[in-house]
Amino acid sequence: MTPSVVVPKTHATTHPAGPARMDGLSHHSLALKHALRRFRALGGSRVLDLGPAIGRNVQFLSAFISKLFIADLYATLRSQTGRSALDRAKLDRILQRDLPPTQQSPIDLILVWDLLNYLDREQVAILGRHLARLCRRDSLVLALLSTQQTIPELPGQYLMLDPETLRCENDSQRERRSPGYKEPDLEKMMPAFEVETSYLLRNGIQEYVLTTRSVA
Amino acid sequence: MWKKKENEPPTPEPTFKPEAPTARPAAPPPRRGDRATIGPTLKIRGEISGEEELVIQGQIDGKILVKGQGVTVGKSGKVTADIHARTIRVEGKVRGDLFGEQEVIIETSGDVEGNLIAPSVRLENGSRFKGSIDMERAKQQQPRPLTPGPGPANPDSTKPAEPGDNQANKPSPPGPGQPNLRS
Repeated sequence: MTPSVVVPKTHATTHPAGPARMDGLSHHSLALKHALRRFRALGGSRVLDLGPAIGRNVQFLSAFISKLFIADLYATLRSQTGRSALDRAKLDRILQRDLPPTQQSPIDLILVWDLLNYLDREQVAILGRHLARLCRRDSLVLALLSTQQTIPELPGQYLMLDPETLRCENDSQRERRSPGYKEPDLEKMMPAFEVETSYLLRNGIQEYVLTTRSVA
Repeated sequence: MWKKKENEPPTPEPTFKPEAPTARPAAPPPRRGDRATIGPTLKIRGEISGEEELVIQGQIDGKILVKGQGVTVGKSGKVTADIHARTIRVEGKVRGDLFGEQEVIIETSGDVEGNLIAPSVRLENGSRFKGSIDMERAKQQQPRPLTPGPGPANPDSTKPAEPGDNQANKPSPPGPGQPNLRS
């Protein structure tokens, strides 16, 4: 799929040639807009946010959802592993414990934000399997991937300012290498999902909306 | 048989006196401003129930039921318990579900893992929360007229963003009858 190139709306200077970071910037997010429109059209009501709890987002989502799960996954992974490597079994245990139980109703929309940039391929695959178990047919996933060489050291916090505007806040002082995942990587690592649409922002962030792959 | 005997001292007329109450009088209802504090060195295991404001600066493992009043988990408070109260304010650490009849507030220093069930939930910037927020109850308790959702009025109005077109400075406030979940 050829992504449409979108110039982000910002209220600060963008860094067109700099690292893929959007801290302090708000941008027009066609992916968020698309995901929310599809979510509403499908009659969705349950949202899983893998990022940290943000009061603004809780307020925003409260207008049209019935249940919000907040996983704050990166903070958990960091606190559980420290500097030691996050092995497969440990990640499995954490995801089993910290994601909503599968016996409950399925999740309609999963907000992954930029978390995938901070996981290796195997970790993304494990996360993808756990997320797939929570989904129903047509569930949606919003993910932001960097296409640049470097990314902030830590994931950002994304604030939903309105149905089509996101603001990223990131306190990272340092940067790290970006894994540079692309659409084929995503679909390979997370085979239960397929890319429904994507938008490339001028600062090198590619926004994806994924949906659960329909079984032929 | 009904005539009094002579020389017999008259018996006093029986008088009816209500029996003196033996039970202790009921405790006066809590006055506005009354509150109990569990100090920072106290550790309690078990169930705490009552009808007055409760401030927890210590450690509690168990269950907390405070009818019609507020519970505050202070900055040094560590609670591993479900809390039921009118309002629940968390400045410390809680592992458990919070059932607020009116409101649950997680302050900047608050750290909660559990589920929040209340008509109004407030997460302050910097607070830590992991778990679920039941928003259905909020909607049921605060009925509101149908308002447009987050989607655009015209769903086909998608257009690429343009430089300088900055909507981000104008976050849309919640609608008039929108549930009171705020930051």
